[in-house]
Amino acid sequence: MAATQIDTLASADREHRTMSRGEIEQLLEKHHQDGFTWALACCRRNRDFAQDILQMSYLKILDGSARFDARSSFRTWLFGVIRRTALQRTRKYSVRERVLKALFIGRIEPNHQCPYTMLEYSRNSEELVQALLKLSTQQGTVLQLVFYHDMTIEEAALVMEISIGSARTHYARGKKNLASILKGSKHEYTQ
Amino acid sequence: MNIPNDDKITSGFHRLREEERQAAPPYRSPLETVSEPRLQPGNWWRARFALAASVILIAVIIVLKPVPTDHSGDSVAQPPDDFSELESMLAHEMPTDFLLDTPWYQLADTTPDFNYIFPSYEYPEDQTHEL
Repeated sequence: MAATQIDTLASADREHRTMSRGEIEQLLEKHHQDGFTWALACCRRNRDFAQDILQMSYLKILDGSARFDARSSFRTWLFGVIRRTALQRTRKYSVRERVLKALFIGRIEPNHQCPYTMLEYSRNSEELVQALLKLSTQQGTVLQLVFYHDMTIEEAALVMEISIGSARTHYARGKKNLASILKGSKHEYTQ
Repeated sequence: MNIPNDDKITSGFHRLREEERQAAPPYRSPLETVSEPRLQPGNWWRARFALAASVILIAVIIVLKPVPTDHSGDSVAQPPDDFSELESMLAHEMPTDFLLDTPWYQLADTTPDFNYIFPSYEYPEDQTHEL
């Protein structure tokens, strides 16, 4: 009876055990590059914003504001945290940035983007990035997750917090639109 | 109709991934970047107490500070014994004095005569010797 009780306690401990900070940091370090590239995709390829969002997400995870409950893989969950943090940041600063741009930058050069905040890409990658930015947010996101991060559509739906059916629709339409946008490019994406 | 080629799209995305991964900054724990340690609850109360004490001390110093007495009215300015310096100052002519000679400037220095006749007044006799 004593042995049964110990087994029960051990399994309970396994299920409800919270990860230590060291373990979490190890996992964060392991997925750091993926996290950064995903943050880039969430910030329209703005490197500075991506770094900010990544740090904010790490803080959320390490101070316990965001808790991993093992319902998905750690990477999928991390992507969800990063995406949500990016959305919160966008909502928080969008009005202020629009006003400042309209007042100071918009009159000089519309849609001005600081070159120092953008990465340098090869020609093909630049075309792909510009094409992705032309797609709707949902279509670009699902294509990024599936083709770039090698996720399944089900995992992409988990990250995006939408149904699998919606994810499939966005995937199909996004792929078609991407191919038509890149039709004239040197690197053909159609067969 | 264009049929998207998954392999080509995948290879394009993978090339982009490699380029972006190279630009990723090295991993740094966000907790290590916090340079200043946060105040513990006990330290926080001590800091508040020190702040309040310093404010009270400054207020007490301001209230109890002795007000300096103004003795400037006690001394009477004495006339100078020698007027030669004053005379030399009055006699000095600035090289730009000619600029003051505007047309009709004499009007400013003269009092017009309106043929005013002062009323006659009889002064009383001096009676000081009677007091």
